[in-house]
Amino acid sequence: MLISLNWLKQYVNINVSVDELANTLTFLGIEVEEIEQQGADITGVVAAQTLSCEAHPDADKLSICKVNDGENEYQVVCGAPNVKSGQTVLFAKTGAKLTGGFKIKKSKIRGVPSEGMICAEDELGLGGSHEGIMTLSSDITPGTPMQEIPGLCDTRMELNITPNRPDALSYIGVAREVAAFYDQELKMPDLRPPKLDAKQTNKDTITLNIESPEDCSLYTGVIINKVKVGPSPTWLVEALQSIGQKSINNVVDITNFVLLESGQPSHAFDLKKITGNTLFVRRAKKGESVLTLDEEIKNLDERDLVIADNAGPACLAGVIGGETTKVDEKTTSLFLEVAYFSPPVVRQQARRHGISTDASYRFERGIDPLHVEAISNYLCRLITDITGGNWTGETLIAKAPEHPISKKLVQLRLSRLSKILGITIDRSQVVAMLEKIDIKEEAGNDLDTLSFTIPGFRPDIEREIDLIEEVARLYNFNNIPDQLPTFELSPTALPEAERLASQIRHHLASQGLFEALSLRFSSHKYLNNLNLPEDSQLFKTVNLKNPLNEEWEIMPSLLMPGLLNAIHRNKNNRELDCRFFEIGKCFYNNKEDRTDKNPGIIEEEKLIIGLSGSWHSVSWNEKGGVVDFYVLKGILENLFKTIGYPRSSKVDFSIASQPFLHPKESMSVLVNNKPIGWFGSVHPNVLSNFGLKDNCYIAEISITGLLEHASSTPVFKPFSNFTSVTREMNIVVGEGVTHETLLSWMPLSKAKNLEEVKLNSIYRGKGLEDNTKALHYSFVYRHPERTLTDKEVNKIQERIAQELTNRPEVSFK
Amino acid sequence: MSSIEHIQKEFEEAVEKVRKSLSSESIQTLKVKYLGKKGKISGLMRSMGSISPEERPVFGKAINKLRDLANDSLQNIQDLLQHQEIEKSTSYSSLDPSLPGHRIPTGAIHPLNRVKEDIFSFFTGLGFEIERGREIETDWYNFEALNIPPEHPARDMQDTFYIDDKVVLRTQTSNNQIHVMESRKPPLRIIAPGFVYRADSDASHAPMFQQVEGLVVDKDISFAQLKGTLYIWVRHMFGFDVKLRFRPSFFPFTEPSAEMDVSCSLCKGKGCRVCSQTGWLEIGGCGCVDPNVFQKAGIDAEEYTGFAFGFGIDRITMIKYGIPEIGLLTANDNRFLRQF
Repeated sequence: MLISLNWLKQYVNINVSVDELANTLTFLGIEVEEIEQQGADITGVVAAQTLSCEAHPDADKLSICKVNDGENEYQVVCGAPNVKSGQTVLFAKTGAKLTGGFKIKKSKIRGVPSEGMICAEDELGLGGSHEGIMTLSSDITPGTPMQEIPGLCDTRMELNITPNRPDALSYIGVAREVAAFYDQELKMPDLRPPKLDAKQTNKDTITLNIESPEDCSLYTGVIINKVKVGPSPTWLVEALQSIGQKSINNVVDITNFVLLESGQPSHAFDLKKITGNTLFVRRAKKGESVLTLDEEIKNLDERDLVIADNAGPACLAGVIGGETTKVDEKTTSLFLEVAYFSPPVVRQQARRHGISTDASYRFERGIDPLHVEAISNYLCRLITDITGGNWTGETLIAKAPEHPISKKLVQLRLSRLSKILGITIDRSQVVAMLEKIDIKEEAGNDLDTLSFTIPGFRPDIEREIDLIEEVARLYNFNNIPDQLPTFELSPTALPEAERLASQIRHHLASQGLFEALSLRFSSHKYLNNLNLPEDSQLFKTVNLKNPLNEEWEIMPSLLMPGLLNAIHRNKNNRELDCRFFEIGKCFYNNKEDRTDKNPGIIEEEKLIIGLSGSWHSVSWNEKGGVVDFYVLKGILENLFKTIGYPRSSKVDFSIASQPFLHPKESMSVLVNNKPIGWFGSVHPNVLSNFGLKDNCYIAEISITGLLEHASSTPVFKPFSNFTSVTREMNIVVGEGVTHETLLSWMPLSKAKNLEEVKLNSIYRGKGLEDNTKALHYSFVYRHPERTLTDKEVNKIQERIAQELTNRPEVSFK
Repeated sequence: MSSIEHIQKEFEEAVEKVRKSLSSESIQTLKVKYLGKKGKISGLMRSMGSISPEERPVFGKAINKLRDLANDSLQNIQDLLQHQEIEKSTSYSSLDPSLPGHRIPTGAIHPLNRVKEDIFSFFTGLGFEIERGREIETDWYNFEALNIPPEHPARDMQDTFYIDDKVVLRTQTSNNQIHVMESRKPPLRIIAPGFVYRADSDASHAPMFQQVEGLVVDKDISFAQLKGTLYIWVRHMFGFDVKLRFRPSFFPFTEPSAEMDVSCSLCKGKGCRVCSQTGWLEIGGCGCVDPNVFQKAGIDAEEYTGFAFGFGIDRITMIKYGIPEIGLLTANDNRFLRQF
C-alpha cells in the first residue's frame, strides 16, 4: 500500500525523521518496502523573498525580479504571471539541479542577465502545475532549503501489509500504530452525520433486503439529493494525487478518500438509475450477468454475491460497481452504500472474475464490522459538504442477527505468555502496551488470567496466541533475549537417501564431473524428441494446470531432455566439454493411491550423468581424450565400487537399449537382476532433435533402486604376500564375438589360483583379416600361501588355450 | 718406524693427487693400493712378525692409527666426490618450474548443495533429524493443515502451481511439519530441506528454489529459544560478527511470526548494492508453531509448544558466494559451475 507522509500527518504528529519512522513501522510489523522522497534529487533550491518586480523592457510577459535568499540579492527574469514583490518563493540559484537533472545556468533573457529561476510546482517534482510560480507562507526564513520547508516535500512509502493486519490498510490504522509507539494522540476525523436541513422535503427511500445474511451481515445506505457532481476541491485532488490516484469526480473521489483514510469501502449508486425501490443483497442466479465499471460483462452464477435492483444485478458485491447505476455528471441523487461483506465470499468472487480492487482487497481481509454505520455518517457529511447535496436524514440499515454488535473478549494467561515467549513481562506492562492500541483490559481478572476487549478493527485477534503475538510485537522481538533449548542427547544420522546422494556427489565431483541443477519442469515438446513409441509410459506425465510457459508445462518423467538442453546451451557458448551429473527427480502418476492426503504421484530420485566433448582436458604435453562409451561405463564402474557395489549385491550391465539411445551402444544396469537404469550413446536422431552435433553419453540410474542395495562399508579381504605368476595370450576373434563371450569360453572357474584376467589391448588392422580383432589378455595367478611354480600355472593355461582352440571362431596370434 | 712414516707420507701425497681429479675409479685404485688385501698398509700389518716383541705394541698402535687415518681420508674424498656429483647433476635442468602442472580434471559440487550439506552437518550436530518430504503435495498438507483454509488471503502470499484443484507443487517445505507431527510424538527436532515452487520468475524469483525447514516441538519451547537457535546458526554460516534481527510478519502456521534479516556480509552492515543500501538481508521466516497446526496434527497445544523456521537456501547461497541472479543457479552453465 502506497501512503503519503503528509497525509498520514493529518492523523498523528510525527516528530522523527523519515528513516526512523520507516524503521519503527517495520519493527511494528508494517514493513516499509520503499521510500520515495520528493526533492531528494534536487539541490540548490531555497526559500527566497521577492524584493521587487518590474516589467521587462523588451518582453510583455516577462518580469525582472530582485530576490533575496537571506544572504545575497539576485536578479532574475521570470515569466510567471503571478510573480509579485513581497512573495516568499522557491528560488533555484545558479548551479541548482532540478527534477530530471535540469541544471540552472547564468543566462541572459532578452538581453537582461538572470541569475537563477523562481520555480513552479512541476519543476520541483511537487505537482503537475506549471500555471505559475509556487508561493510559500511568509514566515518561512529565506535561505531554507526546500527539503526542510515543513509540509512542502512529501514522502511516499510503499508498505507491505501482511494479510492478518487489515487494520493497517488505512491511514488511520497506520497512524494508530505510530501514535501508540510515540505516545501521541490519534486524531480521528469527525465522524458525526451532517446537520439536517429543516426544509427537507424529499422522502425518497429504498428498501434494503439482505437475502443472503451469511454473506452480508450489515448493509447500510443513505440517500442524498440535489448533488452536484463535478470536480473535486483542490485538497481532495491533491490527497489522491499524492499517492498517484486520479481524480474522477467529487463523489467517487470522496468514497476513494474515505476508503484510504478509514479502510472502509463504500459505493455510490445513481439513485435515479435504480430500478424499483428495493435493493437486494443476494446470490446471483445462473445466467445472470452484470456490466461492471471496468466495462466488462461478468457472467454470474449462484456463487456470486450481488447487489441487485428489480432489474437484476447492479454490482458485484464488495468488488466492483455496475455501469447501469453508475454516478456521472448528470447524477443528482445518490444512494450511498456502506456494508460489511463476508471475507471469503468477496475473495472468491474477486478471484473468480480476475479483479482485485481496493475495496475487494479490504473486504476479503476483513473490515471493522463495528464502524460501518459511523463511516456511513462521515461519508454522508463529506458528500453533502462537498457536493452541496441534501441528506434525507435517514440511514437505511439492514442487519443480520449474527452481525457483531460489541467487541470480542479474549483471555490471556500471563503464564502462557511467558511459556511461549520465554520471558516474563509484567502484568502492568502487558496491559499498558495493549491499551495503546485500543485493546483494553476488562475488570474481574484473576492473578494469571486477563480478559481484553478487542476492537472491531482487529479481526485477526481471536485467540490467546493472537494476543501473545501482539504483546511480543509491541515489546519488539529484538528485546526478547536469545536462549538455547535444552534437549536430551540423541544420535542423529543423515537419512540413507541423503547420505548416498552426498557420497555420489562427492565421488563424481572428484572424478571430474560438475554437478548440475535443473528446474524440475519439462515439456511434451522434448518428450516428442526422444523416438519414444506412442504408448510409452513416459508420455503419461504429471501436468501443470497453470504453467508459466510451454517449456515448463509438465513435471519431468525423464531427466535426459533437461541435461541435453543444458549441453546444447553450453555448446552454443563455446563450452564444448560438458561433464555433468545431477541428482534430480522424476514424477509419475499413480492415481490409484490418490486420497485427500496422498497426491497419487510417485516422486523418484534419479542420478543422471551426461558427457560430451573431450575428457581429460588437454595439457601442454598430453593429448586430451574424447569421451566415449567406455569413459561413461568406467565412471559407473567406479561409482558402484565407491558406493558399495558389488560387495553387497550383484551389479550387472547387460546389453539392452532404450528408444533414445544408440541401439548398439547402450546397456541396462541391473542390481540383483532388477533393472535400475541405463546408459549409452544418445541416438543420432535424438541428438539432431536437440540441435546437438557432438556425441553425447547419458546414464540415468534410480537412486531409489540403488538404496535398496547399497552398502558403504568396505570389508577387508586378506591378500597374499607371495609373488604372482603372469601369463599372456593374444586371441583373434571376429568382431561379433564380445569380450564377455570370449571370457565365457574360457574354463575360468576351473582355473585354480587365478586372481585376475586383464584385457591389455585390442588390436585391429595390419596382419589381421577384416572384421577381426586381436585381444591381448594377461592371466594373473597367485597362491595365498606359497609361490606358484611355472609348471602348475602352465598346465592351467594350456587347458584354457585348449578350450579356446576347440572353438572354430578363435585363433591365436 | 720409518717404514710407517714413509708409507703415510706416500699415502697422503697420493690422496692429494686424487683429490685434485676426483673419480670413483681413482678412489677405488687408492683403496686397493693401500687398504686392499695386498695393499701397502696391509703389508705393514703382515710385517708385524718381524718386529721385536718389545717394539711390537708401539708398532701395532702406529699401524692401526695409519689405517684409521687412511680410512678417514678415503671416506672424506669419497664424500667429496659424491657431493661434487650431486652439485653437478643439479646445476642444470631442462625442467621449467614455471610451466603449469599436470592436473587431473576435477569437477565440483553445486554451490547450493555445498550450502545444504553444511546446514545438514550443523543441525545434525545439534541432534536434529533430517526429513525429506514430497514436492507434489495435497492441498491438505500444503495449506489446510498449515492453517490456510481455502479462502484465506494468505493463499495470495504465494503464487501456487496446480496439478489439479487439490494437488499443488508445494509452496513451502512446511508441509513436512505436518507429516512429521502426524507420524511421530514429541519431542521433535527436525530439519527438512527441499525444493519448493512458486509461479513467479524474474531476476530475483525462480519458479523453483530450495528451502530448509526447521521444527522443534517439546514441552517448553519458546520464541527466545527460536532466536537463540537461529543466532548460533547464522554465526556458523556467516561468521561470528554477523548480526541478526527479527521483524514481525505473518505466516498462518506460526504465531508469533517473524522475518529474519542478517547483517550484510559483503558490506558488514554499512549498506551496499547487494543489500540495497540497507545493510540487512532477508533470509527467511520463523515463529512459534500455531496452536491450530498442533491441533490439526493431533498434538496437544497446551502441553507442547514449538518453533519453526524456513530459509531459502538459494538466497543464502547467493549471499555467501556473491551470486547476483537466482537464475544462474539452475542455468547449468559451465562458466558458473567451474567456479566452485
